[in-house]
Amino acid sequence: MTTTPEGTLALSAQQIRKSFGGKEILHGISVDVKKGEHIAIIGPSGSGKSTFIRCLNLLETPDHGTIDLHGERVFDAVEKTPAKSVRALRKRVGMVFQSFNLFATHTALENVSLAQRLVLERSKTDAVDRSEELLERVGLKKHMHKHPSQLSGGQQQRVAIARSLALDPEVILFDEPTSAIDPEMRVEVLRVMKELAEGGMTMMTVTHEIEFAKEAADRAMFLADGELLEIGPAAEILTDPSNERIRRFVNALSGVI
Amino acid sequence: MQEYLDMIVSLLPGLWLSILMATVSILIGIPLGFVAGLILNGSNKALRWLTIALVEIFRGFPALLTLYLVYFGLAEIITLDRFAAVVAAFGVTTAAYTAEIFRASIASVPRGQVEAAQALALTKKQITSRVVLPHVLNIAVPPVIGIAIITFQGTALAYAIGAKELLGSAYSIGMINFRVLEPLLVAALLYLLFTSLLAWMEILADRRVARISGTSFDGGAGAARRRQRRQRKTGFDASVLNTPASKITQ
Repeated sequence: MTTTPEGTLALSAQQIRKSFGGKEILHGISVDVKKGEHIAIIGPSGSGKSTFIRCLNLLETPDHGTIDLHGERVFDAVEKTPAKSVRALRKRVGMVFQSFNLFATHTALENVSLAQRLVLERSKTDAVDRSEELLERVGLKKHMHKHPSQLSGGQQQRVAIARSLALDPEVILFDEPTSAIDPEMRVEVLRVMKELAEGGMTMMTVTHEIEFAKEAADRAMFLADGELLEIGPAAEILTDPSNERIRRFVNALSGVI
Repeated sequence: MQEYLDMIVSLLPGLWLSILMATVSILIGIPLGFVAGLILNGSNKALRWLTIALVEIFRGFPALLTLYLVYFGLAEIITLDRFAAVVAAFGVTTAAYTAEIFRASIASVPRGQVEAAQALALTKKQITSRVVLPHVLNIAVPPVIGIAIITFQGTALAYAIGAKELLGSAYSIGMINFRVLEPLLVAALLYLLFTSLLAWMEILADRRVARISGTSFDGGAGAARRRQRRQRKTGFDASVLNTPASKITQ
């Protein structure tokens, strides 16, 4: 990997290990994410992609390893991380889920405002102003008073992206953001993500959308069986994979038999 | 006609007492039921078993038996007036019935809702009050109104310990004139009216839930699960779409 001055690393995760019920799922995965970089995480089901990304905002607590944000140590598995530090990290690292997980009893606007009110302690007017701005940005301002159940999957996911942006995170993690969305609705979500990436947001995306990864990600990392198989420029790795395993996987996703 | 109007007027204090008894029983029962629901979802085994036992006991006893036990049984220890005995007995009965509703409602909050709130750096308290509780109330309100109707009708049992609630009043009036049927029919009408009012509230609450939640509460998780199941079957994610770059950039 290219040598990067320490200061410009947005996120650095080192030797992340995680076991469930005595079975190790992640065997020590490391990654350095530069500020403004978009990394796609590719790999077969069960390779630990989701577990890895969930470790990065401590929805899963890694058994081993460290996490740094902009050079500041925010997690070290050898020490118990107090709830307050966990929240401080999560404020800086946003998350977008496969199944959107919008608050079902709240409208789109309330979904985007809630954390601004509770976590950033913004006034109601400020929170609503900012929420409207963000919903406008993802093209959903006219639906802001609807409940999640009244929105399509693609719309819900865009609200979820706005909700995540509302805390002004330094990094946003996307866990298979389009896997639960009907194919024709995915484009609108991918477009928002691409705009975000081009706008300089630091992002990590677990995805099966190879074309999107080639187009919108700077680098791709390929996980298999809880190991990092390869990491490098997305277009290079995904267009003409030198690794046989990656080649087979990418071909399968592209429908090549 | 005048006769019936007079009868209604003379039954109003009884109706009022019934409403009051039901209201206080519900106000005692619902918070207790909610706490029981929390405990039943909690990790403290001893507390959970104790709660299960209490819920089974008070659902297992006929409400009248509970009332007798409280009114006559507790008389050995402390003297309760009728009203206190009624609301204590029906309060715990209501709690036992609503406990199960709250247990199920709390258990039905999708994990993803809590995870999303955690990912937004909310505190545990904020997650409970701002995400979990609205969800639980949304689900629980219609069936809890159903229990409230049963509690309201159950207040007629207080007649058995001599309370002058609606049924007791109707019977007394009947005894004075030796014409029991008319006052009972008028009382029946009043029960019906008030119960219908509650039932109507239940329907409104039900509609609200349907409007907010759509058909399912999981915010797309169901579709994701079905897709994953398909994926497991076929060996790879068949739903993957390779969106042409031109489409994304437009």
